Order: sequence, then structure tokens, then C-alpha cells
Amino acid sequence: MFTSNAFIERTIISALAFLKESVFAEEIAGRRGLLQLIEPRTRVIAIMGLILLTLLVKNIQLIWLIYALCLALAAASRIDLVYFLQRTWIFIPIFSLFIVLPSLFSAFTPGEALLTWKMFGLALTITRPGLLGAVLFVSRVTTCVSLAVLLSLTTRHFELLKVLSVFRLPAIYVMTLGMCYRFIFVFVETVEHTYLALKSRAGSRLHYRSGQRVVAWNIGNLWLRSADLSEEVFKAMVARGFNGEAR
Amino acid sequence: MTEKIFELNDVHFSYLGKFPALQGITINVERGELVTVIGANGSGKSTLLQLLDGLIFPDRGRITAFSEELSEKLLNNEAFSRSFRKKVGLVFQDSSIQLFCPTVEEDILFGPVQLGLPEPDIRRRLNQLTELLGIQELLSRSPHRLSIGERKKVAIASTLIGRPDVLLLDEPTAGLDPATTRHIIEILIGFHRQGKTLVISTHDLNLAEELGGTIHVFGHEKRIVASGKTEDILKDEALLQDNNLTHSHIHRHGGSLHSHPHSSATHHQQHDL
Repeated sequence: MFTSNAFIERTIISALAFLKESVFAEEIAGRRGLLQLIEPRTRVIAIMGLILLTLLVKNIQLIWLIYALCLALAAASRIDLVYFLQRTWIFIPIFSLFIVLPSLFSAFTPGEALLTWKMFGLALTITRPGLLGAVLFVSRVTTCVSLAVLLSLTTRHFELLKVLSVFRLPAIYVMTLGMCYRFIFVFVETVEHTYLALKSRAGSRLHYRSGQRVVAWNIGNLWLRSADLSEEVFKAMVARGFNGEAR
Repeated sequence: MTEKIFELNDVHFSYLGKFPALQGITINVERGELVTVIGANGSGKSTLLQLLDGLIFPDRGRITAFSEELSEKLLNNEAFSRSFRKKVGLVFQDSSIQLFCPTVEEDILFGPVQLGLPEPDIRRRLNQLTELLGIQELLSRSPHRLSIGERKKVAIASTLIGRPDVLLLDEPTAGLDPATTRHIIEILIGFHRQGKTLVISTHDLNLAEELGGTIHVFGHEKRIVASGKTEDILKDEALLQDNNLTHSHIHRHGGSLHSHPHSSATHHQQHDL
């Protein structure tokens, strides 16, 4: 829509995707699967325990076993495995692979050579300890990310907030977090409506300079609206007996 | 002898000290009374309700509630504030703002929990209200996933659960479909029959006509231009038209076009003839 300036459109579309994604995730959390039937506090503590275990153990086979358990739990919780793998493999594990790449080589991790080749006159050697370290790191990141995604998919956000209060987080922080989450949707909806209004009036293409001006004005406008909204919400809270102390 | 709930004497209010919203408002609201405030958009109706609810305070003039002059200092007194908030409930015009919790259930329970009502009482009231409003299925949903009508019902439930003696409603039926509007009107009439005091702002003359009671008309100058019984005020076509509450309505009767002012009362009377 914004010629030569597609990042603006991509940003808007990503914001809308967040909304759709969260609605879909909430639908998964509402299914009658294995994890969804377990009491939220137990579920959070169990998955956090598995994440901690993954971080502490150095045995790759055990980490793979935890990963296999995670996939089995996802399937038993009625989550489509293709969707689950897409969500868990796309970013963080791939980035971790890039991070760990240098440690494969003898220059950083000396040891028994597994594979050597020459490039631009330099001898590059992958060592056994380097490879094992890299596999351990990537396996650990993937398993932790998968467990965290599994928890977020099977637990509604308000259940997660309730669990926070079990860990004795002050009620005012839990309430503020809940309200932030709630109002993100109000703003995403505002962005969606603005985008649709612009699309309906500007057609399918808009010069990027006009696009930038419109987006800049809307960012400012959204900021002012958020200030007004916070004042109105505070009034609504006071009207129902809020006196600055969350209960 | 009737008990005065609110007494407003020459109340002025402006936003940021320079945009007048109300000028010289003098009205009384008595216990058990049903007061409707009508006026065009921007005539100060919402501001009046927020003043009555002690959320904002006049620049000039006095507002007395339950024989005490409302002031910021008085509302900061915890004992008075708690007692006042239990007695007076406000349903905001924009339900999206009023519903600020992650789930419908938490939102409805927010007020009673803040006011420290006992848990069993809260649960009993929740069950009764959700049944009355037909919103049992919505309790675990997020407010952002509700329709406008559902949001309005939840906003009403979140106010009614405190069982206030006085209910202030800002445009309670704006933007709702006919069935939801009907349901809400019936609930409000039932609430009034229980002896509760209602102050309702609207520009929907059908709603005003159906509710009856006392009516105050807000004019362009942010002042009350007329007050009286609903049936008398709604007959005054010139008054309604001057204040943007009616417009000329043209429609077809058989083969000929027919025009008359479009207000509820006059519309029905003309069609009855």
C-alpha cells in the first residue's frame, strides 16, 4: 500500500497479526487437552521445573528426552504439531545456531578434529568438543523455548497473571500487567481501524511521503488518546471504589 | 417528606479551565426519582454525571450529595468515599473504558472486591446478575472479544453488583440493537420499581419517553433550557428542534410523501391520528 515504504505496512500488518494470533492462542488454551485440564498453578510450576532442569543438565540425551516429552505434551494438549514446530523453530533456535557457530571451530574450541577444509588459504577445523557444545546449546535453547511456548499456548493470560500472585508479586503489579494486556487490544484495534480507513480512502497505493506523514500524525494521535484513555480508565476505577490500593 | 439525594446549585465546570462544559446548573434529584437528562452531543450530559459521581468537581457552585457538599477533600476521606461508592454507581458511555480487567468475571467483581464485600455475598450477587442479564457464558472471556451489546451488559453488571441506591447511566442504549435496547430498558424500569434513584443521560427520545419521570433539557449553551414532566417536554416540538433533538422526517404514505418532526412522542401521536 505504501510504495517504497513497505515497512510501515508490514508494521501495521504485524500488529494485526498479533491480535489474530492471540485470539487463536486463546482458542487453544480453551481446548480440552491434557495440559489445559491441569490446574494452572500446577501446570506453570511443572513447566518451569522442566525449564530449570533443561538449563542445569549437561547430558544431551536427557535434554532430548525433555524435548520429546514437550512434543508429546503438545500433541496430548491438542496442539497441531506443525503449527507448534513453526512457532518454536523459526526465530530463537535459528539465531542461537548463528551465535554458537564460531565455537564449532578449533580457533575457539580446541580438541579432536572432526572435519577440516580450506577457505581463502585458511584451514577451518570443526572439533568434537566444539560440535558437542554447539549441539548442547541449541538443544537447550530449543527445549526451553518450546516449553515456554507450550505454557503460553495452553494457559490463558489471566491464568498466568493469577499464578504471578501465587509468587507473592504485589497485587498492584498484577493488576497493572492485566490492564496493560487488556488495553494493548484497544490500541491494536485503533491501529486496525485507522489502517482500514486509510485503505478505503487512499486506495491500494499511497506515496511514501504522504504515508510517512499520515503514520507520524497517527502515532502522535495515538499517544494523546492513550493519555486520555488512562485518565478515563482511572475515573472508571475510582467510580467502582478503587482508592489506589489494589485488592 | 422526600429526601434529596443530589442538590446542584449554580454549578459551572470547564475542561482545562477554558472549555466550558456546564454553566449555571441548578437541579435537585430526590430519592426514588427517575431523572432523564436529554441534549445534543457535547451539551454537557456526561460531564454532569461525572460531577454527580464525584469524579470531577465544579469550578463554581455547589453539589450536595446525601446532605454533604461533594469536594475532592471529602472524597479523599476513605470512610466517606467507601460509603459514597457503595451508594452511587455510574455506567460510562464507553464500555471499553469501563471494562479494564483481563476477564469479564474479574471486571464484574472489581467493585465489590475493592469495597471489601464478603466473598459469599459477591458470588451470590454475581450468579443472580449474570442470569438476569444473560451473560453467564461470557465470564471467562476477555472484554475485547465481546460485542458492543455484550460489553454494555457487562458494564451494567459491573455497576449493579454493588447494589447502589443511585444509578447514573450515560447513554445506556447508544449503539445497541433493538433487542438489547429492550432488555436494558426493562432492567432499568425494574430497578426503578425497586425504589432506586436513576439519573440517565440520553439523546434517544424513545428511551426518555418510555422511562418517564422528570426530564431536563440541555441546550447549546451548556445550560438547562427546560425541565418538567417527560410527557410535557416531549410535546414541545419547538424546544426539541431548537436543541437538535428532533429533525424533519420525510416518508411515504401510500403514493404521497409525508413530513413531520421526528421525535418519538410526536411521531407516535401523528401516526395514531
